[in-house]
Amino acid sequence: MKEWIRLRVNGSDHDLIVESHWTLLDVLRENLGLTGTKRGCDTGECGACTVLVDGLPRNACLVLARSAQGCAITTIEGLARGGELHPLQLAFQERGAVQCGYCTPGVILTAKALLDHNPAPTEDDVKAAIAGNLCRCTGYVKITEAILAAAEKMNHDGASIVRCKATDRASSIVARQQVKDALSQRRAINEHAVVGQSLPRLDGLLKVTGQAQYVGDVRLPGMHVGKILRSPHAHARLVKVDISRAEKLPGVKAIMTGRDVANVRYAFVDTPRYSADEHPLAVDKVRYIGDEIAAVAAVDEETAEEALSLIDVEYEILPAVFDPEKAMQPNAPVIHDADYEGASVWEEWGAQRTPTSTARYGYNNISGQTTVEIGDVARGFALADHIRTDRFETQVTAHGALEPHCAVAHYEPSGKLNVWLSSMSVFYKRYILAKALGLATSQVHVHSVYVGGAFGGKIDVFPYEFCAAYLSRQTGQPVKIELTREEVFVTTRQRHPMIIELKTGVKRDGAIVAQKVKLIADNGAYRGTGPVVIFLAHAFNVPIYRVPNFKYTGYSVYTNNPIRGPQRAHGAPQIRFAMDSQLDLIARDLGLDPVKVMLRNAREKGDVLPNGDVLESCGLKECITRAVETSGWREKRGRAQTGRLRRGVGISACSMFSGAPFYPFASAAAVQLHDDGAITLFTGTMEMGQGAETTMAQIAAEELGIELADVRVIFGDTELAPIDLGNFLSGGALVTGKAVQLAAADAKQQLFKVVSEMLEVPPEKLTARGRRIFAGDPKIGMSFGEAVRASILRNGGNPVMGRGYYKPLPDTDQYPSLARAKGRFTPAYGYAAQVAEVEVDTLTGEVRLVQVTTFHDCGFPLNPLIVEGQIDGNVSMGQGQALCEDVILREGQVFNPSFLTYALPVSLTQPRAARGEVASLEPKGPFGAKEVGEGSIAGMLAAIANAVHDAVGVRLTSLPIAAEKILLAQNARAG
Amino acid sequence: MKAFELYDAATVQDAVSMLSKFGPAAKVVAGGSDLVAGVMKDWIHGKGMPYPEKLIDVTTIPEMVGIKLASDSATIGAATTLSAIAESPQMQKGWRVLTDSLFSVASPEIRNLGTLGGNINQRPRCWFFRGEKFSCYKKGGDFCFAVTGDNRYNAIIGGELCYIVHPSDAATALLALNASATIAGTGGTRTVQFDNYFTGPREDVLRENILKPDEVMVNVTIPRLAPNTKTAWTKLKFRQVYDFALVSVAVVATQENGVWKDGRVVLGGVAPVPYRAKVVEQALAGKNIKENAKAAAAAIKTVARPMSANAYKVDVATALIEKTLLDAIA
Repeated sequence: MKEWIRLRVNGSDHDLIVESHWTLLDVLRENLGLTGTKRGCDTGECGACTVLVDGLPRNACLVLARSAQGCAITTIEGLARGGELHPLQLAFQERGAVQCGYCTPGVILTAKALLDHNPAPTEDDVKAAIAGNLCRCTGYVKITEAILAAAEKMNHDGASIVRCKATDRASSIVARQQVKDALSQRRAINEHAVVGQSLPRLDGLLKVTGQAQYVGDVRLPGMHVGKILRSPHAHARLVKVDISRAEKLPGVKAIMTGRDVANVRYAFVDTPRYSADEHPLAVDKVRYIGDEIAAVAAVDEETAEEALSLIDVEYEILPAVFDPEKAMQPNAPVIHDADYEGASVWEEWGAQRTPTSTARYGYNNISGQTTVEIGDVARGFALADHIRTDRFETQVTAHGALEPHCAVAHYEPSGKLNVWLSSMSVFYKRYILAKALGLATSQVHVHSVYVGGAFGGKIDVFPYEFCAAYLSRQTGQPVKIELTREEVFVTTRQRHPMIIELKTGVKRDGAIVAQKVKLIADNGAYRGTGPVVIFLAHAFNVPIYRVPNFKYTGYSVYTNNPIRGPQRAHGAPQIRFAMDSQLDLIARDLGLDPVKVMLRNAREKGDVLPNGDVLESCGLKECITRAVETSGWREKRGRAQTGRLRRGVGISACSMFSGAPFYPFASAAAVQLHDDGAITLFTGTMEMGQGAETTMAQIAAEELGIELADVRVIFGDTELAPIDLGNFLSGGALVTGKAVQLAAADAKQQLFKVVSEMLEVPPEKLTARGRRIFAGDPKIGMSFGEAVRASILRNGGNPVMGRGYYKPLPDTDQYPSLARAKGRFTPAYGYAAQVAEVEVDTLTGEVRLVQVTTFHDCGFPLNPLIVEGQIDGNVSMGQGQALCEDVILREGQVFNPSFLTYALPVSLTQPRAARGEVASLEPKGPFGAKEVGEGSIAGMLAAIANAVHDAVGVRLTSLPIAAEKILLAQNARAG
Repeated sequence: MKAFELYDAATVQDAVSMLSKFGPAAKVVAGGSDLVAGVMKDWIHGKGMPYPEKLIDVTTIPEMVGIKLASDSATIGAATTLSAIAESPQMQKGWRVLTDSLFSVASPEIRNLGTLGGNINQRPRCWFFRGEKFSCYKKGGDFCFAVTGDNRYNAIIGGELCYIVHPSDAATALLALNASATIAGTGGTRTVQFDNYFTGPREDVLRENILKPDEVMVNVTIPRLAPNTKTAWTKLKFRQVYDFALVSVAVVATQENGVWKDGRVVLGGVAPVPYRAKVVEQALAGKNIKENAKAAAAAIKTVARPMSANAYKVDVATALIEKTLLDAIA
């Protein structure tokens, strides 16, 4: 029922007409436009929408708007008054507590309530206070530090507001001060002024004030709401999809079904061997619970939902299969039973109309196979002194980005499509969407927005994105489709669960002589990245140990489970869990220190991998030894203990690409130099929390000898920025970074030419530094701005623009062979080694992760603060995957599609984090930089499993390492 | 979420008369973290569980909010927020097992919204009950999907017909504290001991307690602890926040020189009601608690009837009972 209510928000009264069932979150965002309050789950399970109600933090999604009358409501927009930032906002920005920024407004408000009634909290107080605010990016480490720092500052200043303007100036003052500090340390630390410095991120201020715009915040006039009808059955033939009743519902603007788009076919993998197997909406069959059947655009969400309930679908239920090993058997139900014909979107990149190998993969539901053979395995095992065979199983995990997937699409009358997408590569999404919609690539404009965390889960082009675009074309109006948290859990592609059978032969000293791997990945109802993950599981593993005789067979298998796709370090966590768990067991068998066994086998700089990749930088051994030294391994390992709480340590290592050959195979960047000495950097990279906007700006600033505050960045937009590889396979720092460096260098050379004429010195004698261009003595020269103005004047008014291009593997625009793992993979590998210390409660089986020591080789940390944040995020996600995260499936049904039931790590379980960098200086990378964003999740799993074994003598070979499994294993051991 | 009408009740009488006027489609809302977010946003409904059309907010009733202390008891309004109770120094001093249990509920944000009455009377969390497509007994259907399905979190004691576990941490602690509830209805006001408040599926599978559709829980009264009484609370869950109990234990033990004189051991997360483990209490009677904790805890195995996938919960419960007994006397 509609009623007038009066809400007091941020000190102002608002009179509004609301429905009884509207929540405070609905009204703040939709009626008042206060989009700084974020919608993460809508059910009170993530804290992203936390606001203060009479000074207490509450979930705005749980409070009915009508019930909030008479209360003083504070949102993030109300925290900075008159442009003055709250000390918490400044501390979050300065201390790297902000990454994707989606949880930031909620957690800042929760922290404010804490400091208001407890001005001097302890670390434990802080962790307890923010326990209801989930953060997937930071692992809570820097958030906790920032809150404590803000409390200290407030107590020191004796005022709750510090005098600092909430404009770009604030960041530039902060940035400048830090640059100054950094400059003074520079000589001692490194030769760089801007890169290598822990500078606050450029997007921090937007995010701490709630102004950063995500897809869900985009509002266009006349925008309709789209919803998708999904299959309740795991495997069924569609007999009838009747939309006639739904069409008649007032407020319904358009309905589409599979029949409308039956000729549209695409997939992440679309090659002659592996033909595309996805349609935007199911055409003949549904293959998993959640498979898309129809989409509706309507005037509002309620109408769209009601319309879905009026679509009559008749199903013929088919036998289904959920276990990949059963799915591989000859008599299993066949999930993809027809050949795919007709155009697929990748055709012009080599994919053919008709698949060449349907016969090979048409049976037994095998969707992909990777086979690698190196040396002679039989001979290798014959040489072994000790052989072990083990079977490991990993679970399904979710990405858990706090921002739910969302798309806004708007067709212009000209036929041009504007879209705002939750993405990790705007150019990849543009390409697939354009082809699928039958548009020229350049007719699709993907607009820049911030992304609220991705972790691999926003790479694929999803049906909801296609449907939003299609429905917008049908209605001539903008259409928004925002997935519910349940839809995100079920339909946006989970991590592949794997079965890994591992047979390893070693010499008495632990040297690996032979290894045989059989790996089965369940890719769910569609191929997704199945053939990719079985390739990557090999490719991310091969750079760790030298294995002279090696046989690897990986299968990706169709089942009627939800589709699986890329997730942080795609394939590495699973295989590294198996490999280093077994290596620990082998070390135990042989009575050796596992560290010695790792070092005995570890690769080194200069090694050439079987596919031809050369390790031009490799800090693996140093990562291992330094993690061991720093963690206190020697004192902690193998402690004799009798008490109820027992501690143990374990170690593992991991490695990751720094970009790979993938559409569009190269990144470009451009800089425009302004006559005031500032620059604009144009890059197609995405800012999804990883700090690309800031690190790319640092690279440009360093190259041009200016400061970070002088750089504005245009990113993630297909019309405003040049093409880019995108932010997956961890190519951001090396590939995009190199393109940015080259673009800046190009502009610098143009300036140097002018300055050299003016100063009458050769260009090679010039230096750009400290906002000046000079020859030898900084006094002999001119300011950067003067040089730009001089260049413009001397070149007939032409502005100064620099261009740069970089290709990860200059000699190829071919993918490596997924089936044979041949061809070059990546220009460089990042490395990490991790030591986990756990405490096991022998009475309950509970595992507490006490400390994680990570040493990472990212070549060169472009921004140590951001690098630390990436490591913290990996540690936290690895902790979750090792100990508590598990998508529970029974007959294809996800039983825990919510943040309540799917357990992301929380502030209270945050371990002590020790981290360090091994600077191996990758020659190809900008200033020596390579990957940091993904790899170090993969070492966490075996490190924790090995630590649990060390603590209580129980070996778990399946994930997660839940309390009840330990309890049962202990009880079984005790008899 | 489907539209509904929301009414503020000014007095208990007001709430009761609205409930009786509107009939079964009306529900009391006392915070809403379960009813609004858990039930209605997820469209959990069925033949025996109509989707609410009218909500009556009782947090607007002044007499239902706040804590009143008397010499022999505390009386807490049912619409008092969990955080107000948990953070009350008097409650922490006098009834630590309750405040500890409340601190273990959900998240700080939800504790600022959720109320004592809402927590006690929330609906169970069985994933079949919460799954839109499962028409189970509890929603008026004719099947318990937990019997043949994934029942890892379901009941190990006292399940019959339906195998939910009672979700309330507060209820577990209050039963251990021998508390009682004041209930108002059209017929007047009555007081019910928590011993008699919760009902199993056999009595009425559509409900978890004796509260009738036209009744409101007004307040809860907790007697002061006898001298020499020790208490402890344990809740096992995946994380230290948000999760419902896999198993929880509340111990209230009156002892003399370490010997069990009187008290209660109550388990949450194991049965369709907060479960008073009398077998454990009996095994401790007159005995040294520390020396007999392990053996007494093991007595729970004699009453447990685990399902196909939750035998581990018997081990967990045994371990937690022992731990909580030891914590209480530590």
